[in-house]
Amino acid sequence: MEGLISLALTRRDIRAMKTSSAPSSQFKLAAFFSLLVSCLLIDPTAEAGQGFLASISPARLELKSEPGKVVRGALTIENMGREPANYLVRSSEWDYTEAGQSLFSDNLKNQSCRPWLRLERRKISVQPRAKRNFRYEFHVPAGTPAQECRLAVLIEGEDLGGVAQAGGGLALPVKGRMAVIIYLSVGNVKPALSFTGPVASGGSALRFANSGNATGRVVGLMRGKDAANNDFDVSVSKQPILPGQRRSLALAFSQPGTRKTATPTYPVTVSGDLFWQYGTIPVKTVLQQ
Amino acid sequence: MSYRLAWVIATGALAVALPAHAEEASDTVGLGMQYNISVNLDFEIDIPELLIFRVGSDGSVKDQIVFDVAQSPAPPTSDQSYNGQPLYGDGTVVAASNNGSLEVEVIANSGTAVITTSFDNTNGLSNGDGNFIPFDEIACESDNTGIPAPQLANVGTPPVTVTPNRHGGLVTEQVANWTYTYKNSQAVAAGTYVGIVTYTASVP
Repeated sequence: MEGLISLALTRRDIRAMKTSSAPSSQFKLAAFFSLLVSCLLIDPTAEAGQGFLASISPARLELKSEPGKVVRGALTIENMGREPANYLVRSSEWDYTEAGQSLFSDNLKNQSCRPWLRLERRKISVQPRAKRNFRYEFHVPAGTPAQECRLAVLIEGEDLGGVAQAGGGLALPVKGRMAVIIYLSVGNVKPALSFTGPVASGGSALRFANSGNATGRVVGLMRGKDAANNDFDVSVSKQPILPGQRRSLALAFSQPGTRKTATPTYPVTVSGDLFWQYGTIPVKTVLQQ
Repeated sequence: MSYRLAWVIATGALAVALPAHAEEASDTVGLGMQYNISVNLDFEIDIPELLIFRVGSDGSVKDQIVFDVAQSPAPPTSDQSYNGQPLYGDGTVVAASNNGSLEVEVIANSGTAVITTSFDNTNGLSNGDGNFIPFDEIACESDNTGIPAPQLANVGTPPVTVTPNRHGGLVTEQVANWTYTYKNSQAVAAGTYVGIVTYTASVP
């Protein structure tokens, strides 16, 4: 940044030189020193660990395909910052543990479908307050057995240099990155979701299990009545339930008919129907704090 | 009144009068039936699924947290040099001398956002000479429980879930300041230690 500032000064000097028909010797001397100072201040490591401010849309892809087919689409990245930015785009293995840990890995795992993914470009330059689309394609090989594959597309700022050294201490450059999680269903795969009860403690979560072979989600609005006889609308987190997993989904309480957050008094009775892609899950349970 | 203004008024009056005349004509010519014409006006609002993520500045300045540990130790209180206490690594917390606090912002409308943490070196911050300071020597606190600060550790830094706080828990708009300090609980070899932290936001 220091280098950029001093470079701007030099350009201003150059503009001044161009508009002046006969630059004085004093001005030439000042311009020379300005140029010299700017060269000294341009540090190739100065941009390391720069901040990150961007948006990606869609934030998640849930795709369906068949063996031998191609799925196409596009992602839109917006640079919400005040400086031009270069973004690097690449695929990554992704897994989501029952504990809620998102695991990313560059190492190609067995049966990975990352080789099916083709990205339009690996590097995208976006002007400030501007958007750019980049396309993707999944080429599903013929003969691929029915399965759901999961992966991520990572978008991160380009690292413009090494790490600037601190003067005898610790330096902690911090980087931001976004991951678009992709679920690609090939052939006839389905989730099979069931409600297994409330969490043992902690109150505001329900547990679900998925015995199918594809990721599922539940949605819906339930009714709640707390110990003080207050009514609530109760919505459930849209977090994914991966095949073979059990997951606790957080509940959110709001005043009936509104979306204003409310806090219940435990115990709370919750009832209603939740929906997933292929069915309905009736829920009637009591939440304990 | 100019000719143009008169023409505009006359045209407008004609436009108002014509439908009334048509309705009257249909009533007399037809069989006394009332014609009801309904026009649907459908609204469609397309809200795209998106994820907005900010870490630190917006890219115009570098975000490197720096701790200057090269400070003078407290003077000894007896004839014995420093009372046998270590000069460094005595647990005196060191605030960052540069960028000690970073702004973090998450906006998401398609599910619960999760932030995971990774490092360039799972041994810790390195001085390039084979010595390391584990990342858990860096403490981080958030001023907003909606975006808890990840507690750094060389391996297995727990993810943080960003609490959806809008529209009945379906939309997330959270901003926080994460403040970093150096715990200074280990006596380590001299050098400049560097370690890169990468925060990844996703909506699984």
